[in-house]
Amino acid sequence: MSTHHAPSTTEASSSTGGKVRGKIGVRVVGRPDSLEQRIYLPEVIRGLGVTAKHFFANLFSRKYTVTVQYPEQKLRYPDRNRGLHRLMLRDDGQVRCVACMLCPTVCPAHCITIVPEETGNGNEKRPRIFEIDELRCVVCGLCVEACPCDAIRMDSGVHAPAVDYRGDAIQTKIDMLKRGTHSVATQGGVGPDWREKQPTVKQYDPPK
Amino acid sequence: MSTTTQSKTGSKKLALGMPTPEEITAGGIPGISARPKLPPDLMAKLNNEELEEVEDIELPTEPMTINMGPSHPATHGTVRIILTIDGETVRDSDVQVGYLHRCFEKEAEAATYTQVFPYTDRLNYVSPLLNNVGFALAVEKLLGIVDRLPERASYIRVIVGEISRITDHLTCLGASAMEVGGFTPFLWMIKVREWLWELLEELTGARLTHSYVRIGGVAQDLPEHFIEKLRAVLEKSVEVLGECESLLVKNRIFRDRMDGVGTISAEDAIAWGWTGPCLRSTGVPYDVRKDHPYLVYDRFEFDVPVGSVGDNYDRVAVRLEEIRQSMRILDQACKQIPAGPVLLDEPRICMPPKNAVYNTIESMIGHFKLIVDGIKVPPGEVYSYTEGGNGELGFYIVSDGSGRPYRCHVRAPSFIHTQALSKLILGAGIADIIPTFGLINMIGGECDR
Amino acid sequence: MAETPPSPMKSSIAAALRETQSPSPPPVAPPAAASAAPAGSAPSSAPPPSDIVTIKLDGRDVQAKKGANLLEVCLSNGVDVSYFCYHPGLSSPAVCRQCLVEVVGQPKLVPACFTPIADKMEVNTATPRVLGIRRQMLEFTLVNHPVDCPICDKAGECTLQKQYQDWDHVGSRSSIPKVHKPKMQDLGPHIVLDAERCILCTRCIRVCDEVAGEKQLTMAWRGDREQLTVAPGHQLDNPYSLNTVDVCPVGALTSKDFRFTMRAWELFSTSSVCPGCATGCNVEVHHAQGEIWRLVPRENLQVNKYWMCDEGRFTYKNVRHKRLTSARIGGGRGQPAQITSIDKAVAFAAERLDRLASGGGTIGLVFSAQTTNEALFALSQVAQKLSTRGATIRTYVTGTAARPERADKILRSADTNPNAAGAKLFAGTGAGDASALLSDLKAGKLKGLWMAGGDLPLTEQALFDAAPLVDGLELFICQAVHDSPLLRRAQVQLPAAAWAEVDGSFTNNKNLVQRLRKAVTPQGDARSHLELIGQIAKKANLAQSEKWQVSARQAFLQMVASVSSSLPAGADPAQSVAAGFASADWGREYLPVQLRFANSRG
Repeated sequence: MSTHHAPSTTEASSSTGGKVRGKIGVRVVGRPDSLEQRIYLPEVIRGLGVTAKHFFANLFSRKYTVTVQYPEQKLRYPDRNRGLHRLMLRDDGQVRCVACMLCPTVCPAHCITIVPEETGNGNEKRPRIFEIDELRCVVCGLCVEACPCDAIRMDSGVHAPAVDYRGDAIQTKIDMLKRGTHSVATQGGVGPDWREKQPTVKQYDPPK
Repeated sequence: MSTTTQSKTGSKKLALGMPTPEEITAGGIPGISARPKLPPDLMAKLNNEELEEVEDIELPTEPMTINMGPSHPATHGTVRIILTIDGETVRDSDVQVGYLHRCFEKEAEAATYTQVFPYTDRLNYVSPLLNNVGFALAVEKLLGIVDRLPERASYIRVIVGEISRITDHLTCLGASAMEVGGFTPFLWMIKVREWLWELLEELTGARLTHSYVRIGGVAQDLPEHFIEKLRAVLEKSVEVLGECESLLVKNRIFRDRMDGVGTISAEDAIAWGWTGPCLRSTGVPYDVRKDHPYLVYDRFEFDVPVGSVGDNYDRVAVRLEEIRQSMRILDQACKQIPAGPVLLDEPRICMPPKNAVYNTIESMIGHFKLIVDGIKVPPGEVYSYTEGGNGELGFYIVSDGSGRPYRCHVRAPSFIHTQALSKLILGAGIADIIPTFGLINMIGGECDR
Repeated sequence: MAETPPSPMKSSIAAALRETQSPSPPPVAPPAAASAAPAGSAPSSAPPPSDIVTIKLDGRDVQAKKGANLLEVCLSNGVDVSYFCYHPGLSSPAVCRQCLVEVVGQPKLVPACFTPIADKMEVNTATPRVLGIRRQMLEFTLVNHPVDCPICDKAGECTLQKQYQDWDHVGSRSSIPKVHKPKMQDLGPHIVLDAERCILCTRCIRVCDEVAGEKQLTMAWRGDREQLTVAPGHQLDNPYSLNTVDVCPVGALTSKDFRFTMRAWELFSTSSVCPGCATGCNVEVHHAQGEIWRLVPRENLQVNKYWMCDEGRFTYKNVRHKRLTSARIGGGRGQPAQITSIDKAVAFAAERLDRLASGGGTIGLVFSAQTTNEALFALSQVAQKLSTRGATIRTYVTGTAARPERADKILRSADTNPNAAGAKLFAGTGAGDASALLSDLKAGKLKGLWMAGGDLPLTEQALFDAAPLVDGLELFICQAVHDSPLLRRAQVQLPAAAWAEVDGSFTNNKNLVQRLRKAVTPQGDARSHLELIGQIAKKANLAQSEKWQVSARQAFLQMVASVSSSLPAGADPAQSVAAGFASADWGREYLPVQLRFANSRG
């Protein structure tokens, strides 16, 4: 054993100073070597006992079974699960997105394509094309974090479907709007009481 | 004339053509032509009564070169080992890595610091959160905000890091057991890993590629009842771990395959630059969490498990024990974790709260600037290292003051461990290569970057 | 908050700003980052020593010219001072109060942009008091600023965003409703005004008054209802109106052309020269995804200072308009041409050219004033070789038609060709003009014609009428960027790369040789004129591996050496075109960087 590590093998306190509460406790792992182990059979029987316990417990009560019979049986994803993207709606049913381009900027996989257009109304700007290539998407969620309008979310509760052709994996604006709901986030400095109005997240219920 | 050696049991061993494993390990193997030639009257000799007590007659063979990998069903990572074998014995090997090269370091130069997190997820993809934490700490060190990190964020980082360490070790151990024929422990360990990943999914939103840590803290606070769920999972896991251990540790087949295989001395391990469980298996108690504590690791009681021989069995036992120690840390962290913010309140580093972004121009500007320009890290260079799943995971970052790293290098423990693989398998049997390789736990994503 | 010490980032920001403020590039302009000398530190004629005063700037002694603008002195010495209304090319009204600094001995803070320096002045720019006031000014500015970054074109290159992030970065303390003002106001043919975003710096008013010389903008109302408006009965329609968009520190004035097409931070910037007229304004070509999205002026005090005309900004549209994208051969005399590869077309042209030259025919070479110096130099080299082979060479200089009505004393020139001076130089003294070409064609004096650039100063109809004249030619090679009736009648039609797709240089009307840089890849099969000439010359055995055939840079170096070898020492660039080449410099090669990672503009 190399000498400069030797001191730390004892119960010496860490050398970093400051508030040290932990000690370097070193535990040498054992190498059990017993007679019954060497004569092989007792341990084999003991091992069989462990697996047999699982077998019978599963046979009668499914105690250790963790299998989910997908797709007949589906688990609900947790609320924070990042699934397929969806585009949120304004109160009048239009897309919330204003094509600010923060999500394509922050996307590490360059999977978002947005072509903006002028609306002619007070919202000024909206996406003409909004496409996400789900094959390129690395599902990191940075686009949701970057969105300054609560327009894009990934809490749709459905994961990207399998596709036959690569082109089918591209989610268009229409696809993502179908999963969209009205956002309750206040926006645009609407009033002095914005601090009280906390945005809440509405979970999207996937179609059964 | 043939060489006859006396083996331990007293029976004779006749080696006509090939070197013995001992000769290979000792080095200085004579060429095949220098070996004793097969006597011309072989059949006559074999009928000779003299040779009846000879246990083995090893026929002279030319060494054979075979490929193991790059897509070998049993190797964990995509790695190619060019083997020169004499019969079953490895005489020479050439380990070639790089099949999973994704230009991580170059990609990082083209991305803002926040955008690097999804890339780090894919380094050691069995414990992504440890990579997240390692990278975040490196940037934070360069920013000089390590001391100002919110306590709760540090605890959360410890918790998710230790969960990841457990999943990392479980994967390694389960796979190794499977490689020597024990399929049951593999399934059970993967079951436990699944419980832990479900927990992490609830916290981070993804099972594997979490992208959860941010510079200055973490992305989200713990969900409701996370601590309770974690405790329940740990309780179940200990039980499963005990069962797995009982199936492995005293199992003679497992022990025969592990004991004394792939042995390396502490000096050699240090010379090769080994760290982590692999180094500790040789008896060196070096653990970054203890020797250079970061985050809040100095507040926890835990032991550093070390081995004594440095063989494959020690690597198994050290990892098993480390899982228990990680559970100990988790237990203490769950008790100690304070309430508070999970992200630093520093508008030029951390994103402002969403509600403020929606409603005030000040936060909106900060939000835009952080995403468009990135976090402006002062010029300088930093090497920051943490205890990853496989050992010392270091990030070397050079900043030119812009929002992107000028250079980002990863000291990937897997890469350094894999260097020594050739030496470990020299003289071993072909069947020993995969368990040895598995217990070095080379993760392609990390090794090749 | 005023007591907060400046964070460690401050130094990097200061350094970044230093780079931003780097001054005028030399005539053949390297990228902005390449020019290193700080402004004012190296005046061409050193002022007498009595004019130099020493001031104490943040505790260190700084020397500058007496009476110099304090803000400029700060910036040129790497001291970061925030400002909105100051612009180096405009007067200083000191309305934004953002550059307030402390002058020892004066009870109140003074605006640096309005303070001439005096000897032994002691200035502090980073005391808690100054930083606090700076933060408070930003807070005032932001009180009524709309939450518009997501739909604002300026986001990413916005000075307000930059100053907030550098100096304030404190959350909102306001809880009163914002004052609303008209949005999306149409100010003129090119500009839209959003009055809410305006921070009342008056830079745009001063651009109209001082640069364009037309008083079209003004401020109306008072207090927090004060807003920018066009003067009664006017429109913002002067030929320099889009400079107001550049100087606007926020997104109040936006360009209709660029509006909502791209985000500023996504663009890549390549330094180049405007091809719109003989002035040769220095521009930055902003491009992304293989397309050009806008041109903005690049500072060059010798040529265009900080400005350019509206018409010049739209020259980028030509790059993707009516392009010839593939080579065609076999046309002429009413025959339809066949699309073919460049190599085949070049071989066809070379073979005919060789035959014509060896037969002693008269060949007309057209030097287009729309083409780079390097291509024209190459053509002149080929002309020499052709005449040694026995051909009679006539040269012509053509280009687009002059438009006297657009000339003014500011930037716009009547000559709409960017390289008329270079074309005249390389075509030689006996070169004819476009009308000489037409009369020669009519008289049947030419057997072959080789046009490097297909532009003629004719209207569409006149061109169509003149086109049949070329049918009498034995060989007509036309290298052209755009499709035209004349080109359609050429036997060899070669697609040439447009100005933004090539490396090279233009000589402007002040005889300055200015560098063009390749911003986007050529459309279709198009190649640069230089490359096409080089390949034809090679196939026709007129030149083999000459330096000018290797690369545009080699051609430039050979051209400069060749032109300046025949030059008397100390020739004045203002007097002769050739003298301009003596001081020409190719500049540094660099990869374009996305604007978000370059230093913030504004």
